[in-house]
Amino acid sequence: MLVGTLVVFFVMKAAPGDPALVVLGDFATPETIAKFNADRGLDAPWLMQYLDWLGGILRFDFGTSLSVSADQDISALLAFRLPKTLFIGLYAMTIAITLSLILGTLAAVNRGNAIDTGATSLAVLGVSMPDFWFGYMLILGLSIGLGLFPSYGFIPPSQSILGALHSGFLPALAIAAPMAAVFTRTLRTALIENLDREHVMVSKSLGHSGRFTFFHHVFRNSIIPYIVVVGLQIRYLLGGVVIIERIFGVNGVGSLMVEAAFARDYFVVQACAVVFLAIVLGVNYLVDLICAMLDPRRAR
Amino acid sequence: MTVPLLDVKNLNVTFQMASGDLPVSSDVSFTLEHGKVLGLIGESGSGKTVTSKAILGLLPSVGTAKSDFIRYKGRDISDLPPHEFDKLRGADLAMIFQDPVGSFNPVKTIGWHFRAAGRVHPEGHGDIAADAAEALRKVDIADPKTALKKFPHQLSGGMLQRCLIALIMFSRPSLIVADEPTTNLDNLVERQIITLFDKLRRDIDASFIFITHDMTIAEQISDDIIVMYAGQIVEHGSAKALMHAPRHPYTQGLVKTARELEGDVDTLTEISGEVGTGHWPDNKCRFAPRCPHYQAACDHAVPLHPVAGHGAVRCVMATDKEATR
Repeated sequence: MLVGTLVVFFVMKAAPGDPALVVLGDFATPETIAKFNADRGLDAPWLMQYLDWLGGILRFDFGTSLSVSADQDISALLAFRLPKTLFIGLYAMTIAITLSLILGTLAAVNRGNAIDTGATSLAVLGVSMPDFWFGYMLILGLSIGLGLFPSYGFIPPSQSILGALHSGFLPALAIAAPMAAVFTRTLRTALIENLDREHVMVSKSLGHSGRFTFFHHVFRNSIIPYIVVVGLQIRYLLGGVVIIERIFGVNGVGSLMVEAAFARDYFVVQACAVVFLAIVLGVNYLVDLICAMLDPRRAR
Repeated sequence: MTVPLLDVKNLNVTFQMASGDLPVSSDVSFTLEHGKVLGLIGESGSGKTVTSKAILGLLPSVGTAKSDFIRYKGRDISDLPPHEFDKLRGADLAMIFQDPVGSFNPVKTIGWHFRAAGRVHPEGHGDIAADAAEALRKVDIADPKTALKKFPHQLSGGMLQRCLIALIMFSRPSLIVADEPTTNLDNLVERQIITLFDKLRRDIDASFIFITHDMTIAEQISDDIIVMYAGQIVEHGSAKALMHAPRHPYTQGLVKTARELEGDVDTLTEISGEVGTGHWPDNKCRFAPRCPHYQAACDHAVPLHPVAGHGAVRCVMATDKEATR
């Protein structure tokens, strides 16, 4: 996490552009720029700036926005935006996991026949489609074409859960599709590998039904590599969120990050990056915990 | 005459491969009487395992078994629907596989395996946990209560093998197929396991099909022996007859090598050539290309025919008159 904050901070410092110029515009004089920087501590040595910023993070204080939402507390900005992003992210994850559990299991059980080919082709399609393209296709088809879903804008879950589920469906699906494809393939491969294990045959030879054997000897074991991949895909999910929020006009952390980057609002970009970093690390830690619980060979 | 425990007639197993149908076992027929041990011998790919799996309905999805009948206690089980077969497996028919480590689900405890087995066949079990501990004690596991709490990777191969034997015998099956159960163990442990097997088998009054490629073990444990080559039975008789007066050239080769292994020799006799896989000819002796006694008659179909005072042999040279060669 500490290494992550270092990278986030210094990459942003190395980025071109000066926030003072963006905020003060064409009428900026060297004096007003110097004052702007001094007010916000931007004239201090980088190391001091970093330590100052890091200290703030530990108190959940990300500083104030420079240009995107001038002089607003970034923590408040995040508190307003983050729930929407988390909702879309969880929504997408739920769709991806549900789809892949069904498709992956169907494919593995029907290995080699038409159902398997269908599910696998769908998965290849999902992996090959760029998510932004798929997003536009969804808008074209389901929104403009059939009028089933709104093409732009998002009703936050705090206002209406149903509204959020409805208006968030397309962005969530756009993010979920490529992930569902990866999950499906992972699950299918793991299931097929475990189907051939000797303990599966032993279970059958002891008189256990096909269903019992599949659940306890095949699915139960395959879910471990599956969860590992789900955890790894979190990074992809967040990347997708940034793009898809822009396309569908979801007022979340992803679009905040893009807006801030255009406005050279380093503090906001950094804050968003740190939030994403915390999510990725948190999820990976959780995945490790779950895996240790599910697989005694990993537990200490 | 009483009904035999197992009566198999003309069992043929075919694998549907991308390259076409591959026969892996042809016209296998035998009977097994209650309480007896049948040794099944042959090299890898001779059809021993496939034959046994076909009997238990455990063939992989690419495999198809066809037979006149497979009768277990007089009931034809060759066409049982899956849920009927589930009832039979475990409590009546069971199989022990080669790899004790792979036979246990690595993410479940030993105790879980016993509880699951006890749930599917609750007959005869009072307290499953106590019975499981007792079963482990019988296979010389010193601390059964602790062993039941362990995961497979926390036990040694030899211990797992004994746990597996206890697990398979837990539901008191009448017929156990043991597929090279000692292949992965060292010699000393192998002897112990074989002895243990035999003792437990008598305890629960089970019959055995014992698959091995080791003639000495087969002789030690079996009443009758079947030798398979290239998917066919080439010789079938009492263990004594086969080991002391083998009639098929292939059996003779196996016995000779086994005797040499027991003695102290520098070189072992090798049966030259390889068995190859699949697409064996139907109209001539499949062993002919490797046989030291090859003759023109071998180029015609050779049936498995009874030989007086011996059993059955699939060789043109084996006749009632000629006792030894």
